[in-house]
Amino acid sequence: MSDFLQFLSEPIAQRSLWACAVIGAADGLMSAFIVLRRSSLQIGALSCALLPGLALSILLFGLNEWSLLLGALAAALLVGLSSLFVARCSVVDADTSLSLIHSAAFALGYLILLSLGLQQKVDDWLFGNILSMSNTDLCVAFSAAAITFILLTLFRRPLLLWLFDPIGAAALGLPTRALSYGAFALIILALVSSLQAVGSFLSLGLLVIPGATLRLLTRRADLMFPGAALLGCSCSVLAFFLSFPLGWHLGATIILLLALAFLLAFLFSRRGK
Amino acid sequence: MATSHHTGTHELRVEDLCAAYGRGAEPALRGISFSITCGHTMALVGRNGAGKSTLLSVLAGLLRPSGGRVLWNGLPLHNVRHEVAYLPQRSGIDWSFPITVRGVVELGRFPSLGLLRAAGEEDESIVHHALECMQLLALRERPISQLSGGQQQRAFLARALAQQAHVLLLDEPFTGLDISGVHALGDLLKRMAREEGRLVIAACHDTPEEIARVFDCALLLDGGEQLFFGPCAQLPPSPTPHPHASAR
Repeated sequence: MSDFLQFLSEPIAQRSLWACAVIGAADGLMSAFIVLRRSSLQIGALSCALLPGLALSILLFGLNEWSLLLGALAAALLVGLSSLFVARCSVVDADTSLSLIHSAAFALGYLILLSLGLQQKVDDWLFGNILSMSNTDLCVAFSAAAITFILLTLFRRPLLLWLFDPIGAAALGLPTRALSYGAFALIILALVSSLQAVGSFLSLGLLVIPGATLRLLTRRADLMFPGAALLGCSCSVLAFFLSFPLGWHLGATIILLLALAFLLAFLFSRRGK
Repeated sequence: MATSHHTGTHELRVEDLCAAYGRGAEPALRGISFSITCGHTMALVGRNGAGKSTLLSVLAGLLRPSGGRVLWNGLPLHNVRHEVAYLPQRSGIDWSFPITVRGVVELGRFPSLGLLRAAGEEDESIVHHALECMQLLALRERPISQLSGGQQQRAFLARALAQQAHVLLLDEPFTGLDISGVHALGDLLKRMAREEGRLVIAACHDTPEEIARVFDCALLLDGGEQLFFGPCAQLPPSPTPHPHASAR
């Protein structure tokens, strides 16, 4: 216990705790939007697509934080847009094209990273390592969280209208195509900013489970947003305090706690049915 | 107030309207022309693929006309989109979406409130009045998913009232409703036109008798062309489909 208290007093621990709280809240908020938009499958594919972007940017620009971020961003955009292109220009539907392009991109990225001798880094990017977050990583996470909070709060009304009745929203003159692209950009931002903390595989859980849990607990979409942010934040902070004494991986602990919250909400929602 | 309170002199004028889905595509509408004022109900009739939904899409601003004009009191209708409320086909709505009846109606205030302004007392009073008009006050905290088809249609009409729209465009509003629901909704649409001075335009698949019960006039379409526009009593029967024609 004394080891843990001593660890808490160190800057790296405080930085990690802040990262848990902020990333958990921002991804939780975003998860409500993703669940209401029914785009969880798309997130799964995009999160895996980050890996080839990382690999190629290391190959081209070397291993530094900004090249990693830009590489991940470029990969997610490239995979997302090319899957849309394939879907529009062929009889293959969007989900199928996204699945095949992301798995091919993932395979390519994995081979490049192995050939560069970055086996340990591969694990970090797949499953995250909050304790290794630098000040720059933290700044990126904070900035992404601020952008997410501001945009989702500011555009709350048109987003709800668009999510519920997209045709009616377009008839009212809402720029639905711009909203669609903006939402895609926000999702990529959330994925990239949480990459260092929970990795590309586990960020999927943080971007889906809080929203799915609140979907079971409330009948009001407007309450899902703050509720999912609170759940994402509290589970991430709780996981921080649990993972050290238990010796568990922090990213995995966050996802397990969120899954437990979902299970409890599921059982609660089934009660009386 | 949610009611429009005007003299019924607002006019919707459609002149030689043409529309197509995409550049170079076969026209889905050709040479549509009619004019109608507020306080009336108008049915768009014709078999599947006749162009009813396409015409509604153009009037709602969802599809740009490739020719002709749509004017509202002499101005392009696209410039006054808040005047128009569009109720899509029931199949176009995710009815499992977590939103209460009041939440649906409050969305109608978006054009007036914009991004930043918070809803005030006047907005709440407008929403309350819209719920009251559609007899939904008792159901206002109920999720939309738990309502019957007719009640869901009323919730959307209440949203149109909260929007304070003058023109109501409805795509197949009676589809999926039982007989009593069809009659109740028909009476409601007539009331919205005659008592509140709104212009109600709906695409219908109903019998001529049912259309005449609810609507003042009808526009008959076939293959994107206008075959008839006038009082429902003079509405000719819809042309029978060509044996080799495929419905869209």
